[in-house]
Amino acid sequence: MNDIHNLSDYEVVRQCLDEDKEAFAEIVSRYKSLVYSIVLKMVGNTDEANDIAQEIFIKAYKSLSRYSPDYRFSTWIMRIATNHVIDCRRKKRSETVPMEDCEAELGRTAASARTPEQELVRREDSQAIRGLLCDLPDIYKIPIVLFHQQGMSYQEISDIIQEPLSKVKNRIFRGRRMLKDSLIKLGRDSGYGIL
Amino acid sequence: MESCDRKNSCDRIEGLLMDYMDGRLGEAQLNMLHKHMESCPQCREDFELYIAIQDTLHEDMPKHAAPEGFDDAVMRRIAELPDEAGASNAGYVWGGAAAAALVLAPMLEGIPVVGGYVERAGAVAASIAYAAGGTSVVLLEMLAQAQIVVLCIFVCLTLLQFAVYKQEKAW
Ligand SMILES: [Zn+2]
Repeated sequence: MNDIHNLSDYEVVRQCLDEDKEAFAEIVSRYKSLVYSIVLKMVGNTDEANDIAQEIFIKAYKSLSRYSPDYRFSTWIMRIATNHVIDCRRKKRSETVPMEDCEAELGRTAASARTPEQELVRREDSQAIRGLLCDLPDIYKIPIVLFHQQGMSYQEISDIIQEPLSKVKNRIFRGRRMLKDSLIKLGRDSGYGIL
Repeated sequence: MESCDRKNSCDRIEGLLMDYMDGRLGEAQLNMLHKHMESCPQCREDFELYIAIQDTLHEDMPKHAAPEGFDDAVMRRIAELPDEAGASNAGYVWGGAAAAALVLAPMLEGIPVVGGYVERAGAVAASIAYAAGGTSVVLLEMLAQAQIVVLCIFVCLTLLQFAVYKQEKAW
């Protein structure tokens, strides 16, 4: 009997397709933190991220027969994840989105990585930046999160969002500039000097 | 004129700042960047803001563990899915459609005009029926779908032909 933990992603997928629903648990276990992290960074709220991440795995399960080993499984599932997050946010946009949640939850999870002194100095600026990232339109936010927070290459991002490299580069460029300009504007409006 | 030159060179510097954040700035370009910033407070401020943005984004970089019970919740929801929604079924459904096309195609083959197309459609259907049993890719599904549409058109054409034939006979 082959130990499922030693199988490649594609072999596990084949096993799921051979009527072995349970094999999908292995896929979930391999990719849950990747998917959950990216969703949390996109929506900023842990409960919502949990729901959306679950839905992403269910979507992946339903379309498993369409997975092609030409792409890494992580690329494929990230593509489903980013599309699903965009859909959810679009649906939700008509309702009110409390942005403070977004900043607060991410700030809390990031705080553990810093010393108390650094935390004091940076808290306000970082908080402002997180808030602005939350407000950034998805087409800029997704490549920025994938590049700066997931450490993905332009090529990987291009595979995920299925846009040419030039577009990926341009969106990251513009997204950063929008963050920077908003940060300047925020500093001006609030009267407190950013940095 | 001078301010225009200034603007052009500041635009170029912004490009360098982006390359810097991408982690692919050569030493010569880095020197150029620093030299410009010594005399340009605007670009220096931008640089500092970009670095602050980058630092904040990187601080949030660590992966977050999925909540407790995540795996179980997903697997429970998958177990509750109706069988048709299962991962393994798509291939068989389209395989079945293609097989139907395979059976129908030769029946239509004897009829002139459309026969040539049907023959080709039959060959495609055969390859789909073969492939769909194994890996089912989007392309195959699309082909199988196209197959059904094509068959419908053939059926209509045949009926039309038959009607015309009867009409001619009546004359
Ligand atoms: Zn300048």
